[in-house]
Amino acid sequence: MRSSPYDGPALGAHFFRVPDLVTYIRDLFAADPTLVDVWVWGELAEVTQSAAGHTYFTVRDGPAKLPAVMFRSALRRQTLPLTAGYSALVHGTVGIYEQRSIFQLIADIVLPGDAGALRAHFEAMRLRLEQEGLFAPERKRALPKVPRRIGIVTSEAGAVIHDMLTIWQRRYPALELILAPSAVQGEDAARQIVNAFGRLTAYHASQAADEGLDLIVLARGGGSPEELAPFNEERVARAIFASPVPVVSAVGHETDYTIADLVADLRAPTPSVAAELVVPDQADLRRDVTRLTERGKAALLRHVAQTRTTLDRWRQQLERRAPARLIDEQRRRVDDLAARGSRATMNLVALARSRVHAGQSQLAALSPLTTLGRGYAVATAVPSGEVVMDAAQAATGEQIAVRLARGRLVTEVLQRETLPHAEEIKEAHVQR
Amino acid sequence: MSNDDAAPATFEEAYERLRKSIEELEGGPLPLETAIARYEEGMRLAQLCNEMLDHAELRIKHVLREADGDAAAAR
Repeated sequence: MRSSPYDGPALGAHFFRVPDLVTYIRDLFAADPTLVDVWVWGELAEVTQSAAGHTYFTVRDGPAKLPAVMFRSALRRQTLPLTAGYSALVHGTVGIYEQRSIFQLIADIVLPGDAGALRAHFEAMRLRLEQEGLFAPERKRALPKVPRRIGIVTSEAGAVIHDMLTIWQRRYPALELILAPSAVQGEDAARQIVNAFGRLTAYHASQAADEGLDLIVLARGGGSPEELAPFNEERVARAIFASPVPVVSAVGHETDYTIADLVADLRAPTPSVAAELVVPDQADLRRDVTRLTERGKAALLRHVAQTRTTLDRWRQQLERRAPARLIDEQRRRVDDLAARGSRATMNLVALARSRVHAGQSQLAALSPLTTLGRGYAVATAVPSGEVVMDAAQAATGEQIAVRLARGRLVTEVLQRETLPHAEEIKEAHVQR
Repeated sequence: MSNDDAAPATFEEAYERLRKSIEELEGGPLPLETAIARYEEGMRLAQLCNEMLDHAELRIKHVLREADGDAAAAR
């Protein structure tokens, strides 16, 4: 069945050309139901990346070694980084790499090994940090609404820093940036990040109280889980936790949280979002300023209006108490009193007058002149003027003045006749 | 109060003082003269705020490089 250049005893079906044998073996492997679906546990070693984007590695268990490859298509679904030294449970198909005639494991899933080396280590660290309170919501610090000075930990090269500067320039340029450059991937990245935090902390401490940093942004662009590994390191977590000012993490990985994200005071999904989150928009601020001035205007106008109302009320109250008004009032009261006084006086006068009238008529009735008018006369001694009421008072020959109703006579007593006193009085009454 | 007499050095300070002036103005019964003073101060601060934004320029003040002696921290 097979022709051969060999001229010896017939080899029959046991003779193969090399490519045929390799193909034969490949087909055997492919036909084996076990080899197309195997799980193997071991330590990952010799992890290398090919130019085409495939990852070659070795799964080791003691002295035994299994070469393995994970093709680019499978790598896209792989979340756990393939890291040398970690134990893992690997799933795939055992096949022949025909060009080199070696068998290899074509891996499609790499899970943590049963001890959970990588994942378990990570989870244990995460749990420890959590129990220590590094992720506690209550220790998250609030960001200042309007920061002045921002510290940045990121790579000096690349789009991340450029994008953030562009956003700040447009959105809120009144910023001072303190840049602490650091590698954000690779072996040395974690150490450099910790060191950058240390430099920013020292800078902050060296400034006057209100001249220090307001916050720190820790940023890098998106990357594979392996590239983000530094952000899962404990010392980076502790550096963030120890920061004297709030830290915003922006590690460019939309879905998975790194430890750095969990410790940070605020986690932004990307550096650009972080840049927007940490500063206000100047358009908003200008609107706020306008609104505040309008509120101020309204308040002042209200104040003036209220003051005017109060003033009006006070003026009215004052006017009621004004001296001019008081004087008027007093004057009215005086007038009033005067009026009452004059009325009273007039009454008194009238009364007095009527009394006078009465007195006058009484007087007139009693007046001696009236008596004289009725024909009586009054005799008085001359020159004493003493009224002579008894004939005994005058001697014959003496002069007596006689007062008449009209006029007066001086007479001489020619004769005198005396009467007993009582009789004379009685007589006088009868005569009246 | 004497502290506030100094011109605000930053936007935040100016804005904060503007907000306080206005709130004070809105808040309680102030003597009219004080109210007018607050209002005038507020208007000055508002203008200052806008000017600060107009003239603001993004500035990278310092680049703190690892080389400056503290690289000794390297493992």
